[in-house]
Amino acid sequence: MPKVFFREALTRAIAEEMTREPRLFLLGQDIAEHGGSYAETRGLLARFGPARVRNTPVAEAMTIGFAAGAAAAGLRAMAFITYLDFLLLGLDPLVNYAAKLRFKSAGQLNAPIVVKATAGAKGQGPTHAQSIEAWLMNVPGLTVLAPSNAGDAYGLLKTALRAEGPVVFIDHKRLFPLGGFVPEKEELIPIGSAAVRRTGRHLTLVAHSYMSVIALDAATQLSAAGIEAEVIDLRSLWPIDWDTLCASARHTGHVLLVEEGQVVCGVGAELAFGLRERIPELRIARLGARRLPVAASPVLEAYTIPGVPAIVGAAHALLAPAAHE
Amino acid sequence: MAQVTTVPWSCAIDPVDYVQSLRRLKSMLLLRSFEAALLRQPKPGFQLLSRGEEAVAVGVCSALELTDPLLCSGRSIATALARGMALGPLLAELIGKDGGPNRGRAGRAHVSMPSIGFFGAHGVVGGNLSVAAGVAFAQQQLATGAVACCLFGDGACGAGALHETLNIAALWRLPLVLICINNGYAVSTPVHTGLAAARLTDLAAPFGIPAVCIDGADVDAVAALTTQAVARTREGQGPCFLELQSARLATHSNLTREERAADELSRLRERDPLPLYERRLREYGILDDVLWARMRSEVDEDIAAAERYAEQAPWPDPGQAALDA
Amino acid sequence: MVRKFVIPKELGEAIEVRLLLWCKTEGQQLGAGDALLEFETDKALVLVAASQPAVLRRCFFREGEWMKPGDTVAWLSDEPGEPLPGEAGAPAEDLLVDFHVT
Repeated sequence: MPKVFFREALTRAIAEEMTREPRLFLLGQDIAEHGGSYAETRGLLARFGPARVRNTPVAEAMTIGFAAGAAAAGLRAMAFITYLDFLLLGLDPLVNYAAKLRFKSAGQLNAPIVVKATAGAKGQGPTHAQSIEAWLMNVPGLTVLAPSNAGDAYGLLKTALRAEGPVVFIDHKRLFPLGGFVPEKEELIPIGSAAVRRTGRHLTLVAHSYMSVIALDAATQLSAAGIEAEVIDLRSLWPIDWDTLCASARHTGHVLLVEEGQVVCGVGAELAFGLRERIPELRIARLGARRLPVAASPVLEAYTIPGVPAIVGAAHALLAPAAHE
Repeated sequence: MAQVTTVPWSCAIDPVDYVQSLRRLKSMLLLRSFEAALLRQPKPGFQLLSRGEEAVAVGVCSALELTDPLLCSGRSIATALARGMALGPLLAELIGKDGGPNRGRAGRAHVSMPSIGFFGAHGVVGGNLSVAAGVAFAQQQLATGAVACCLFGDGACGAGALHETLNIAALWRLPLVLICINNGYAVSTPVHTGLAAARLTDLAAPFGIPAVCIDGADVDAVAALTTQAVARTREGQGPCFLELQSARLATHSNLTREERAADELSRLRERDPLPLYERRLREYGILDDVLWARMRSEVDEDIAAAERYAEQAPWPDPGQAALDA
Repeated sequence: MVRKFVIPKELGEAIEVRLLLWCKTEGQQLGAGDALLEFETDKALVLVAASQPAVLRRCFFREGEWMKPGDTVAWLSDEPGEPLPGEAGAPAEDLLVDFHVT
């Protein structure tokens, strides 16, 4: 399988879908000549022309509302939001219009849009660092995806670009410098399917996006200590693949839910309760960022975001016999 | 460049206009009577009232083709009717019954029927503006020849959404006609305390969008101006901005108390488009007591039929609630 | 003296890079300023030019292959016929280079 940079997986998915669907257009800041904030739209302007690859001013609310309206009126749109933090500016059209359009119109209208936004802490300070994808999970009408590698990004983005309604596609700054494998031939990955990245019998580590990469590193370290962790990469934050999660949880009996975002009302909060409902006897723990904004200083950032040592520590704690048992 | 124009009352009536004029009068009467009937319902719900703005709705809609997508704000009742929505189904929708195009999901804030050119209302102030720009863009890209038209109130003029939309509409020369219904109030806030601009038409000037302000109580003037604006935009000359000054004769909503002084209200009543047009048509000799009585009784019959329809319409089935969610 | 060219560790945020193009082949002489190879990070194209004359002796990666900071990419020698280190050896000195980043 060819190895590519993460951004190339995105470019390929977008190019294939733009070829397949002539009504699909792209909009966002710096996506035309500049080739995208993460070089992920490089070459697309030359290939598909300025009508379909459009630079917008810095106006996220307009960008998303515009995408939704254009899609509702017969096109398909992909909007690029450079930082997930700035998606907040566009939450009104995303949540109040796009997510509700099919419902409120009783099926007469819908908005097939993909909103791509990049999450994650990487040295840029409090408002260029957040992982707030959990906020989107509880909006009826929104699909939320978060790949952790190039191959999944490719397959999921293709599927997202064919979806019937709005999809938020969240990648992560720290995924871009990594190479990854993509299939030779065109391939789609279905929405709502998690991936088992590593099998193990002692505990289940559940993560998404860049935290899946960290979780795998943590699993390697745990293995050296005789603890075999099963690592599940969610890929789809809504809908959630409960089948894969439960199968693993029943097997290991111990689930550690890890995320880069806040623990309060985080992804793990929903998973923990959902797993508990389904498997009452599970031992579950969750791990996320400390309750602080992400600071600009890398020292403070590293303190705030969970890393391998935090995961390893939490795994040991989860597996230790409980004092009152 | 922005300009303020007042269109004089008098204009020659020819045989074609004679039929059109009577149709316009009847339409405004229908809108007025419908809203009154709605408020007589045992449980009318929370409704924004269009009383006093009938000339805007009828005039604007008369200038549009069926294929021109029309969007509006949450003050949608007159617009929906003028655009051609059937009375019974609309009344059903407004009181929460199934039997309307949105099956009880939308209500007046979100009612829509794209098949008749009513792309829909939206309940977030200014929320439909960027959507309308996207809808206009789709017309442009799909070369439909259609023009998107978005109605919004003076209350939306302080919001970024308007400025972001004006900007992109001008930049991309969108086939978009933006129509501001200035009824002098955003709920209880008078325009001059909510907006620093001397005139609403000034807001379009920085973007180079031509803007015209007229008296929105004159249905013929509204129709003529909108026709002109739509024709110009349809030719590819870019967006335009119309300000239609109207009188909000009722309170903001059926649940909002009246705070305006009695003398102001009686001044506003002098700008009631319905008696104004009735008087004009009598002056022109095309309306007399007999014709007017017949018109009123036809409208009453239509309203009664609508009330029966809404009465007999079923309540939505909760089992179907998840459809299109 | 036989020298090595190593992908620098201080390459900003790059974790893996891809070799795009060899500008010379094994055995060819480079003058000061001549392009040796081009590689790509996820954000940038990096052209590596020798800033001292050298002969390209051994290429350890092919075009299209992936490399990491710290990987030895090539051996070069000051003179054409110089013997190369055997099994146990490795050049100690680095080739002096300039990076042109676009």
